[in-house]
Amino acid sequence: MSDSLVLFAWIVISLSLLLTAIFSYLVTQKVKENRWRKEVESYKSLYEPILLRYLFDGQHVPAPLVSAQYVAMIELLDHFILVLDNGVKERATLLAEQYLSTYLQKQLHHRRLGRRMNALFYIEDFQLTSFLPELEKRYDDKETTMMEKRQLLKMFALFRHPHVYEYMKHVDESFTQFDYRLILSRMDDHTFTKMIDYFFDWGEKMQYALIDMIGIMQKLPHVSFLLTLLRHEQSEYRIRALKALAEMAFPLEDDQLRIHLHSQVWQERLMALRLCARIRQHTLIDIIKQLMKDQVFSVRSQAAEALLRMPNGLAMLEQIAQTSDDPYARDMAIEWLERGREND
Amino acid sequence: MIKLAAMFVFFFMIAVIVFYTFLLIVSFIQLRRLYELDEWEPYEEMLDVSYTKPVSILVPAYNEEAGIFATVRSLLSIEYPEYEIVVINDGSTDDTLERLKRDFDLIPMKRVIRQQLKTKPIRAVYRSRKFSHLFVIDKENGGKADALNAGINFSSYPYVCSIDGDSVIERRAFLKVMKPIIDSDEEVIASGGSVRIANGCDIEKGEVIRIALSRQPLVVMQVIEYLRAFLMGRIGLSRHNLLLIVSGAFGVFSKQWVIRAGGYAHTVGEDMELVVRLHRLIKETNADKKIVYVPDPVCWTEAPESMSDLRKQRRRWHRGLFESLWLHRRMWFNPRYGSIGLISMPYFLLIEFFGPVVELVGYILIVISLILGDIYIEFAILLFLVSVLYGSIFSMAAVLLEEWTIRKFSNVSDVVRLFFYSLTETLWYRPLTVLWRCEGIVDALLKRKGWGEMKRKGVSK
Repeated sequence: MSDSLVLFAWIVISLSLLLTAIFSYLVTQKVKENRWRKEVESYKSLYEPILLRYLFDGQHVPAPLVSAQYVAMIELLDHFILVLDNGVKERATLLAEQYLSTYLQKQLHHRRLGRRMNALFYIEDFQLTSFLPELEKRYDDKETTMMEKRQLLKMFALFRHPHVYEYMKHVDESFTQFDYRLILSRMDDHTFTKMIDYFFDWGEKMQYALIDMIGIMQKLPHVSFLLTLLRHEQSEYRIRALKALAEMAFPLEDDQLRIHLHSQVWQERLMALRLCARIRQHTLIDIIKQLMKDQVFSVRSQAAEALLRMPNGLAMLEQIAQTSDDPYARDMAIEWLERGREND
Repeated sequence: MIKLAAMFVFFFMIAVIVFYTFLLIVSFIQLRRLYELDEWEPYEEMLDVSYTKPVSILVPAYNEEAGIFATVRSLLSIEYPEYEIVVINDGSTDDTLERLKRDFDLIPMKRVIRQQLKTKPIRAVYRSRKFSHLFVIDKENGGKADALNAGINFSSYPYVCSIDGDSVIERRAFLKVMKPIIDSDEEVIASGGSVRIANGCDIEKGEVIRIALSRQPLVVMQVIEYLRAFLMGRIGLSRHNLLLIVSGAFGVFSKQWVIRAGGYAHTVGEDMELVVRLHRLIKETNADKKIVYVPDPVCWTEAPESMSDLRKQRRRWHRGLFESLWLHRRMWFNPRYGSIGLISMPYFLLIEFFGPVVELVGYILIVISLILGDIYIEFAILLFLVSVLYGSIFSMAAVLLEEWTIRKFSNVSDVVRLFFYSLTETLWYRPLTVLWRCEGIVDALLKRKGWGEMKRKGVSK
C-alpha cells in the first residue's frame, strides 16, 4: 500500500513539475511572440505608405531583412491585392518575386503544415508562377498531405500548368465535388473544354462539378453540351443541366421545357420551373399554374415564383389565391403575392 | 469495506485517467497540425455564393429581453454569403417581442409554413423592414425544443443552426463551422463549434472587441472547464466520429436529417439528444454520414456568476444527460450501433454520468479515512492524489493545450491566472460541481422538472 502511495505521489509531483515546466516555456514563448507581433505591426505601419507608393508609382521599396519585416510585407501586400484593383497586381507580383521568394521557399519546407499551407496561399495570391517547378516537386512528394495537394492542384489550374489535365486524372478518391469546383473555377477555357470532351470518362463527382461550373461560370460555349444532357436517361444529369441553364437564363424551346415540367422526378420539375422563372416563359403559364397544385412543397413554391415573375404575375397569383380549388395552391399564392408586393 | 470501496474508486479513476490521456493526445496532435494556419485564407472562397450552402439561423427566445438585441445584432453582421435569421419568441412573458418589434422595425407577414414537425400553434410571423433576412415567429410557449422545431418548419434553407438567446457569435464562425459540411460534399450532417465564456470579454453591439478573462474565480473555473470539455473531450471524440454533443449554443445541422430524425425532442438536453438520435439514424440506415466538431469557431456565452445559478445549471445539465442516455438505453453496449454503442454511450454513461457519484464516494471516503486515522490515512492520501490527477492535472493540461494551439487569450497574465486556478480545481471547484451533478441525478430519479432559469444580465454593452 505505502509503496503504491509513494509511487503515486511521485507521479503526481513529476506531472505537476512537467506541466509547470511546459507552462513556463509557453509563457516565455507568449511574451516573445507578443513582442514579435508588435514588431510586425510597427513594421506594417512603416511599410504601408512605402508599399502604396510602390504599387501606384513604382517607387523603390527597401528589401526586408528580418523575419518580422518579411511577415509585415507579406501581410500588407496580401491585403492590398485583395482591396486594390487589377492594375497594381503585376507590381505586387514583381515585388514578391524579388523580395519574398526566398522567404516563401523556406516556409514551403517548414515542418509545420500550417506554415506550409500559408506559404501556398501567399504564392497563389501573389501569382508567383515561377514557383511551378517547386510546386510540382511538392505535389509528387510522398510526405505531402491531402490538404496541400488540394491547394496545389488549384494553383496548377490557376498558373496554367500544361499538365493539369493529367494531374486531374490521377487525383485521390477523397477529392470532393467542392474540391473539383474550386479547381475547375481556376481552369483556362482550353483545359476546361478538354475536360468536357471526355465528360463520360470522369467519375460522378467530377461530372457533376463540371455541369455545375458551366452554369456558375456562365460558360456559354458549352450550352450545346448541356442540351445533350437533357436527353440523357439519368435524371441527375438532366436536373443539373437544367439548373445550370437556369443559372445562365438560357431560353429553351417550349416543347423541351414541357417534357421536364411533366417529369416524374420532382427535382426535375423544380429546376425546369426555375428556368421558366428566369426566362419568363409566359407561353407555359398553364402548365405552371397546374404545378401550383403539385404535391411537393418546393415545386409549388417555385411555380408561384415563376408566375410572379411573368408580366401580369401579381394578377395571376391573385386569381389563384381567390379561386383555386386547391388549398395548398391558394396558400402559396398568398405568400408569393405578399413577397411580390413587398418588392414593388 | 472501506478498503474495497477505496480500491474501486481508485481503479475507476485510473481507468478514466487513461481514457482522458488518450483523448488529450489525439486532441494535441489534431490541433498542433494546423497550428499557425492562416485565420482567413482557407475560408476566403466560401464567400462565393455559388459554392456555399445557405443557412437558417434559429434563435429560440424565452424571456430574453436583456440579451436578444445583442444576439440578433451579432448575427446580422456575420460573414456568410447567404443566410436568414429566425427568432422564435416562445411565448415570452417579458418584453422580448416588443423589444424585437421596436429595434428591428417588424411588420406582420404571411408565409406558408410547412408542418414537417409538430409544434404548438403559431400566433404570428413578422419580418423586419430594416433587414430583409430577419424574421420573427411568435408562438405559444412550448419549450426550447418546440421553439426550435417551429423555426425548422419556417426556415427556407437546407441547413439550420440553433443559437441560444444570449450568445454572441464571432463574425466568421459560420464559415468555419460550415466548412467541413461543404468540403465533404455534405457527408458531414452536423457540425458543432466551440463555446467559450463571454464574462470578462469586451463585447460591443454583438461583436467581441477584446478577449479577456473574468476576475471572478467561479467564472475562471468555468472557463477552464469549457476548455477541458471542448478542446480535450470533443476533438478527441470527433476524430473518431464518437461525438455525442454538438453544443446547443452553437451547432449547424442538415435540416433534412433533423426532420428525418424527428426534430428536437422535449428533453432537458435537447441538443445532445438530437445528436444521439442522428447517430442512431445514421447507424440504423447504414448511411455514410458524420458529425464533427470544429475547435476554432467561437460562440461566446454568458456563464453564471453566482453559486446558486451555477448549481441550478449543473443540476439541469446532469438531468438532461440522464434523460438522453435513458431515452436511448437500447444503444448502451449494443454492438449494432458500432463505436457509438460500444464506446461513446458507455463513456457518457460511466464517466460523464456516474463519474460524479464515484468521485463523491471518493471525497466521502477521504473524510471518513481521516476521521478513522491510522492505516486509513494512507487511503485518504492515495485517493486525494488520484483526484488531483483526475481534476487539477488534466485541467492544467487543457489550459496548456489551449495556449499551445489555439491561443485565444492574448494577455500573458490571463494565461498565468488560468494555469494557477486550474491547479486549485480539486480543492474546491471540483467537489462543488460533483455535488451539484449528484443532485441532478437525484432530480432525475425523482423526476423533478423545471428549468431553474438563470437571471441574465446580457453580455453586450
